[in-house]
Amino acid sequence: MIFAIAKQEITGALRDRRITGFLVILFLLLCLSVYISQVKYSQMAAYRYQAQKENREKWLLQNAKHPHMAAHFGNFAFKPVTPLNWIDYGVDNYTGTYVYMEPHRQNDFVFTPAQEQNASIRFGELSPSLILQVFVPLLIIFMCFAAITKERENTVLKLLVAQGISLQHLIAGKLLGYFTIVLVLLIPLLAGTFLTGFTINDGIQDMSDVLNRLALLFLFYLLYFFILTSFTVWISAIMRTSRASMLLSLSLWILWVVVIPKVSANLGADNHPLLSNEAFAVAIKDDIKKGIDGHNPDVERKQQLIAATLKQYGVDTVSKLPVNIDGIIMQKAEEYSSVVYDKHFEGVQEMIKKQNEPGRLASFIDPYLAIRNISMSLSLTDVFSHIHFQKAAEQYRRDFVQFMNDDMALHPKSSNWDEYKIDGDTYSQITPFTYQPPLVNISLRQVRIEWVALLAGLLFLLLLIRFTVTKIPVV
Amino acid sequence: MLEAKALTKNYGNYQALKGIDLHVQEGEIFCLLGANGAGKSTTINLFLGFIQPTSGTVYINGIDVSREILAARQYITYIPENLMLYTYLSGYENLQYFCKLSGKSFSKEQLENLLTDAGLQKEFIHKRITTYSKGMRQKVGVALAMAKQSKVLLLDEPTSGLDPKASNEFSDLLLKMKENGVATLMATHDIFRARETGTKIGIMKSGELVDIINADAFTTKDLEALYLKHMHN
Repeated sequence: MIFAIAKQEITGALRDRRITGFLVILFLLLCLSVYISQVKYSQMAAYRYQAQKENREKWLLQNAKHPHMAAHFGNFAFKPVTPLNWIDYGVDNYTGTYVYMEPHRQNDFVFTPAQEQNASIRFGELSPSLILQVFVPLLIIFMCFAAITKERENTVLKLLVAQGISLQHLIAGKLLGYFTIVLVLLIPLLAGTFLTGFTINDGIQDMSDVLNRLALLFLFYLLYFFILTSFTVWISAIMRTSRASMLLSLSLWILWVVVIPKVSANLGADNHPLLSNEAFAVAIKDDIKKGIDGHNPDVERKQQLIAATLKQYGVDTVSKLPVNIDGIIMQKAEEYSSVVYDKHFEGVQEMIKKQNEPGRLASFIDPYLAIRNISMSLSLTDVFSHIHFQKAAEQYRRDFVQFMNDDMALHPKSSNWDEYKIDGDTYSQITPFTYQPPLVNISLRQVRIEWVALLAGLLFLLLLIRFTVTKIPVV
Repeated sequence: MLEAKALTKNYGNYQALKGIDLHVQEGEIFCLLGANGAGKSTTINLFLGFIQPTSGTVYINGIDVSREILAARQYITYIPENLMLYTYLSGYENLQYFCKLSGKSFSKEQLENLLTDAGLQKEFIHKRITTYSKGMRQKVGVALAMAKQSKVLLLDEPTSGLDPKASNEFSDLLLKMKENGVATLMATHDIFRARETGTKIGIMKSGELVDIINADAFTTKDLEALYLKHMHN
């Protein structure tokens, strides 16, 4: 019986030109967004591959230099494109794609796509996730708002119920029918992923991890669509008229997609403001000044370090040291500045986390926020994934600088501090930066509030339908 | 087959039904005559289980409707005043769908025969409902009753708005079903049609069944006089 009702609903939707029109437009939009996104990320992957290759060649072919000068020649970390990035752009447009790595400082990520584009990017690009999260719900509302009200208004509901159908079966059949139609919209995404999506991979992400992410992504999108479909059908069941049902459903859509995300973001930003770039830089500089600095070390700390080193080697002057004291001082300064940077960056990360908290908690009343965060996390384009990459790049920078400082320390200086030089043999010992993105279980842990909220939402809706269905008026 | 015992229905302080008793046997057409708001549709809705009685009981084939509604509905076909079927389906597809929901399965030929037996012209069987007149839609309802082999027909002003020819055809169908032992409860304003098709006629006024008469004991004119007398009292 449920299947008969579902089949009838599918027939009805497919014979309704307005619904099929909307469905076809969304389907084509989704195909277009899949194509555009894949082209965009393929180009990004190709660009990064090329840039990385050129930078590596430049690094290896640079002139013989003093290790510290070579460290300042610098190195680059390019954020790799992973196979699912194209599904959800997340914060990719705003976070930058590569970082210049040198001694003494953590540089900001540069080349953010948002800087390269016009203001339209603020309204969102045509990514597959945008269509799935924002426009598919509109189709669901359009298709389901009159699911029950229309049948009550034209007395078909009486006829249906008089056939001996329970309202539970009727609602279940309708849900199944509408949900099947919505499933069609996931075809371009699946096809896109399996046809070309996996080839966009300039990282070294494990393919089993990619497949796990993809499966979860589909599962959560299905859950999101099912929640929206159930809720719209339920609204239609409890409202007296189709007009009232549509009004309430659309109001909720605006609340979920526009109002709650905006309010929760403002709430987070107002209660936990971030320092400006200038203030942040000054705070770090001040802290570093208090200790040892590579070029201008704190006198006291420097003297203590020199004294300790002299004592360690049993000599009374720096010139008698078998090591280069500058290398040791620079490495200690690097270690100290790392502590300072870690302290400040952790503060910023903590603040970002707190800023995001209202939005995350709002997932319990807003399924859009839940799926938005889950989608970004599983596509590896969320803030956490960016920070994960940032930390890996920073660790590489520290290892790279330490290698240079250690090399410098092992070669005692003569009259000219940069007389000692390293060449290609040493340069090649610096391995290129590689990055392993977080595994899916780590990403899932980052959005545990969101998926718990979606599951709780599903349970709540099923109970709501179960306990209110008997009270739904037939006449 | 159909029985109401001391049936009352209140909407807040308003008493829509004031303890009515009625009994419809197999092969009987019981017409409820009355003005708007007399309680005819409320009575039908109570038999259908769409609303719950404030007190009293309704039985269909001995089944207490308020206790075993789904079991009771197996015996019923309901045709409202304006049968609005699925407009994007044909009469054939509508019948097929509603039969499926009732757990009945028929071949294409059987369904087509049911529709033609109900008086639907052949050329309309596979046309969409949007092309049907009200009378044609009511015939699909009758075809459903025949397909379900319903023992009970509940009709809420089924001939309202039908032209005389369509109304006459519908009455003929009811009489045909009566011969097959179907118990029919029909709410109507149409004194002539009630007299022509009804076995018994119940006159309702302000939630009360003020009179029950045998239809064949009265001429249409006498029935009209009796009805107006009750209305003016």
